[in-house]
Amino acid sequence: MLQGNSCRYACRSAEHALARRQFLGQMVAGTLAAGGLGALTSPTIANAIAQQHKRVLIFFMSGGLSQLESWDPKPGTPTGGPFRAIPTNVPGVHVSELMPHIATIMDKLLLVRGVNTSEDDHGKGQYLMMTGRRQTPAEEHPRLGAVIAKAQHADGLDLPGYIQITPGGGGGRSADAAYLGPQFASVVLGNGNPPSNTGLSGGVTEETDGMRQTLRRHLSRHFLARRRTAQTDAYMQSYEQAQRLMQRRDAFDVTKEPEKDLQRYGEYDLGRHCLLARRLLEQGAMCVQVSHSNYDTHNENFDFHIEQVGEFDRSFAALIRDLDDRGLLETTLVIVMSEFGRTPNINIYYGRDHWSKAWSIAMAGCGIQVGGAFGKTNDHGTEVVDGQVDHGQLFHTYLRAIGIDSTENFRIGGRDVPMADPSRGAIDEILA
Amino acid sequence: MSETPAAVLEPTAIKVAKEIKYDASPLIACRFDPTGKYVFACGQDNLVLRVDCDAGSFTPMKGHDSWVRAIGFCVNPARCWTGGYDGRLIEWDAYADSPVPLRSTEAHQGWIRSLDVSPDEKWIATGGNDQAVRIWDAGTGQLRHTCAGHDRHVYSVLFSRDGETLYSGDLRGVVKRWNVQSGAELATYDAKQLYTPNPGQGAEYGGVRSMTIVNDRHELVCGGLHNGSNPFGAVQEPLVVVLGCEDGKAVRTHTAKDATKGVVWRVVAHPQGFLIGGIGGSGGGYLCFWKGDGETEFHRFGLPNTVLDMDLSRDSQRIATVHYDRHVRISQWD
Repeated sequence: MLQGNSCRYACRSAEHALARRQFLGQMVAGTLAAGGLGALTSPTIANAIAQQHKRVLIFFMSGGLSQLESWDPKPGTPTGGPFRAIPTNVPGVHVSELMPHIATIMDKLLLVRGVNTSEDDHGKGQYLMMTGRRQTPAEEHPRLGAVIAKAQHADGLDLPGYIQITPGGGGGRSADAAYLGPQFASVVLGNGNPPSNTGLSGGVTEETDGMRQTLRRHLSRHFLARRRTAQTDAYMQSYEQAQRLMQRRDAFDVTKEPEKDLQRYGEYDLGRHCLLARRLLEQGAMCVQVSHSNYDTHNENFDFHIEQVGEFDRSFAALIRDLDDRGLLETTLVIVMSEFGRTPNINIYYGRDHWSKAWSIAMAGCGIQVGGAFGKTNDHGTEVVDGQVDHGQLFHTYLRAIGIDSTENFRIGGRDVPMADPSRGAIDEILA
Repeated sequence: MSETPAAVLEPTAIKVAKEIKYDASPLIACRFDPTGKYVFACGQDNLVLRVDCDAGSFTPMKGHDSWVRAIGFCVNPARCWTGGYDGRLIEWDAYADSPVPLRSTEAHQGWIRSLDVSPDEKWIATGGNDQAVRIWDAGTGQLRHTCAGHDRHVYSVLFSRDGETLYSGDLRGVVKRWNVQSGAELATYDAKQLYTPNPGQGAEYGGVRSMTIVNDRHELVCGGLHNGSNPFGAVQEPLVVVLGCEDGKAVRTHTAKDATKGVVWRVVAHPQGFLIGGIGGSGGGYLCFWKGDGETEFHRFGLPNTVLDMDLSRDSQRIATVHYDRHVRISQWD
């Protein structure tokens, strides 16, 4: 049951449907004109895609955010811990007192409080939440961002279809697209830094580089005229995408955002990363994933959640407000997920352990009914008592919310591969 | 705490004399009242509990909306003060049949982590997550000073024995010394050995969890932890850092033998010249006894369950500990 007020976004309006038909028409025309893959490099088509595709912003709360210290507080119970619940701007919906800023934007959020994924291992939990399927040795599945990038033809955009902003680590491309191919894999911005090797090497001028690229294209065309394969196309495409990425390097430069915005978001890593996410979405990025670390608090859970949730509350609320003010929330789906939640039981170290049986995620933006909570756990938070959902249903729902038919297949190597687990379906009750 | 114990005791001859179980919740804080008849304890059910040590009974004191881990007393009049994670400072008639709050003050934004009563019982000091140290008039309940200067959560506060100076310690092991009359900052001391951040986990960790003073040596003793190689997994070791009261100079440290895991939740000074640390964590629950310049303990007393707080009675004859297994344990020397 959906609690609280709800409002519907107009993502499925006639206007949007018309725009999509226009976009598809442009794409067909472009394809015919350019003949094949090169069509998606057309600026006209790319711009059309950029204007029409839906965006997805994923927050991954690494380690397992405690639902009791965030979306589903149980104050005054043996499992509740020391934090109180506070009201939000949606009557009847409360969140942890650690989220005072988020409480003021609850009308833009949907809480899903009945998640049961039955997987308490970090790696497996992350896999199933990101792919919508259980991990098996038999087959590797693409992550949500890669699926969205493929389904919305991100390979024609200037920016990578799937961009991850991580707290640390280096840059480079991940191997998270599985059978969809490397062009849909995420580009990682370690600590929000621009992608590696996207600047010109020392001594190479733009004019020299332009000549090099012209020569490369000439040789490639000559080669492809006789030996074209899917692999050579992918190879070519990687070069072209890298070239476009170099030209759009400024898109990754968060220092070009106003200083006062950083002050609003918080002058710490997550604040900068959220500001960078806003910049990327405004520049046309299709799927941006921000990871916030770390919530794996088996020890002193409450102290660590004060710090972590405090950071998240401020930065996330500022970002959602900005996306809303700028009209981006109407075409952007926002998801806040972890690999699992944390145990209702408070352990001997003031900690909470892994708990996948009854936990929460949050969503905002297009295609869903916001302004309330779907699903319910019991008084101590130990079981889902209403609206139980799993990772497979959530994955379908994310795709449906941005207008992708999640029951469709990808054509991979001559066979049909379902976009999402065909044994599951979307949660119709929360779709707009 | 009396400077003259009733009898000379053998520190190693300690044993658990009484166990009192509270069925409703793990217990997280404890202090002996000035008479020693009661232990005031707190549970994860937001209740303060007056525990009759002889009868083994509990009198609940309801007034906080969150956990309470800060307790102090005045003798005249007989008052109990508690500071909660709800930011509330409450004054109670300690010995009423059914104690109710006499005065409740919204004292801090966020948790009150520590509370101390000045030796002359004129002032109450509190420290909390709003990074503030506050000094309150014990008689009127009015705020006397807000001492700003810490830039992290304040974990502990302690008056000097003459009551003229207040010490406060924070998450990063910064200890500040304040003038009680003026509220002015007098000095900053370094106990950063008690701060053990873990960038890999994105964790700030450590803190001056407890302080005491060894008066005849003019030493400020700070308890906490170090070597937090895995803060999220409770992998850390107990540490006591001893500083000069007047100059803040590092004097010595005390650790646990064999790098046993745990946190010094409370450190107290026994008038016979040794320190006692109440320790809990992945190494279990135990008391460490340190004396002189000995780096590690000369005696360790194991307890059946992890220790979450500890206190020494004013006659220095008994130790109260509270535990995750919902017990108050009273230990005493033979």
